Amino acid sequence: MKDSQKPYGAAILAVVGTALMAFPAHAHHSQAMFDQSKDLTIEGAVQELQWTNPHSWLVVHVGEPGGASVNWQLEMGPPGKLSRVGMKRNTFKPGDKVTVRIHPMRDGRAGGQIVTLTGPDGHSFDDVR
Amino acid sequence: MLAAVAAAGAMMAGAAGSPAAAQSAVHAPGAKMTHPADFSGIWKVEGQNGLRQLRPAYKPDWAKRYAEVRARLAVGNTEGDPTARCLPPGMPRALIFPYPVELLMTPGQVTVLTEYANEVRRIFTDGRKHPPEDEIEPTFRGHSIGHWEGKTLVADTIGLRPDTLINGTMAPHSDKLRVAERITMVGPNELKWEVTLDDPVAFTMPASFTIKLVRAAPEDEIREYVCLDSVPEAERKFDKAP
Repeated sequence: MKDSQKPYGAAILAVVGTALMAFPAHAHHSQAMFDQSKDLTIEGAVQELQWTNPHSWLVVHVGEPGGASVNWQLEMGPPGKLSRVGMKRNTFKPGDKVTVRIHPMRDGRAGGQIVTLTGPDGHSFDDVR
Repeated sequence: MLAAVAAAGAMMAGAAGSPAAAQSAVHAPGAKMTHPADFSGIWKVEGQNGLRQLRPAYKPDWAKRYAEVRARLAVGNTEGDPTARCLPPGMPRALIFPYPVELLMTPGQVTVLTEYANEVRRIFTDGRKHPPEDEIEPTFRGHSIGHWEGKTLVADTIGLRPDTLINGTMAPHSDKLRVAERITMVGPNELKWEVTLDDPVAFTMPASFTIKLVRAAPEDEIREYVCLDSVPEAERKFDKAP
């Protein structure tokens, strides 16, 4: 199984577009800090699910064997949005292996907005923004 | 039968003495108990909400301002968007209704509770007028009065803060914006919410849209939405992307 050989491997499946300059980080309730023209898929282990308004955040740890380890801060909608697509505050637990497709942050920080989130059981949530 | 009616009457008389009813009486003196239609319940948008992409026809200086903020937004700059700082969307942007809305009908008042941003709007149907224009305090939700035309609730809202936006496209408005709403039940489970925005300072003509609301599932409760709860982006420990 690919997963067991490369449990925390980061795989960039598609990167489209150009990185744009950063803006002051005041916009914690806007999608504008994410580059909607870029798609990036990462595989990693859940570190924490922050079930909060106005946005929930999933922190995903990606560690290359013998290499750098990165925590990705990944944004979703509020609990009211997520619960209506079937997610609960305990759906993702620390250590769960997940595959996440994101629109990455524009400024090169390890963050993004989740487009599709697939859990250890193979179930995908694709309307989480 | 008569006894039951008398008992119901006594209950209402009793309720009038309770603090909650007394408060209603203060807010709506002599208001009728009944509204011609009952919108009570939890509702959600079905289909497209025309407000989301609404682009009013602006006068030249306002069109220029709108183009400038849109250009900034396109590269991720939300400066000038109050909701980016967790301030309320205000009217009419609260009508985006991304999450369910609860409507309450009480004597002399229709109350709109939106899950998004925990907003409360009161539409006074007790016959009061708007405050005089020079006294009105611009607020996020404005001042709303309503009356019934048949079974349609006709609401008028003025007194809106000019630093709020019409929608997420960052469409601006002046403090002379007027929001006219016509809310009609078109079936037991469907509301038609017709809205016309007019702003004689900023627009060349009024802009209209219609929202369709349907009853939410009984188990779909209004959830708490306290906007400033997430760890702010500025305090979040971001790694550098590999």
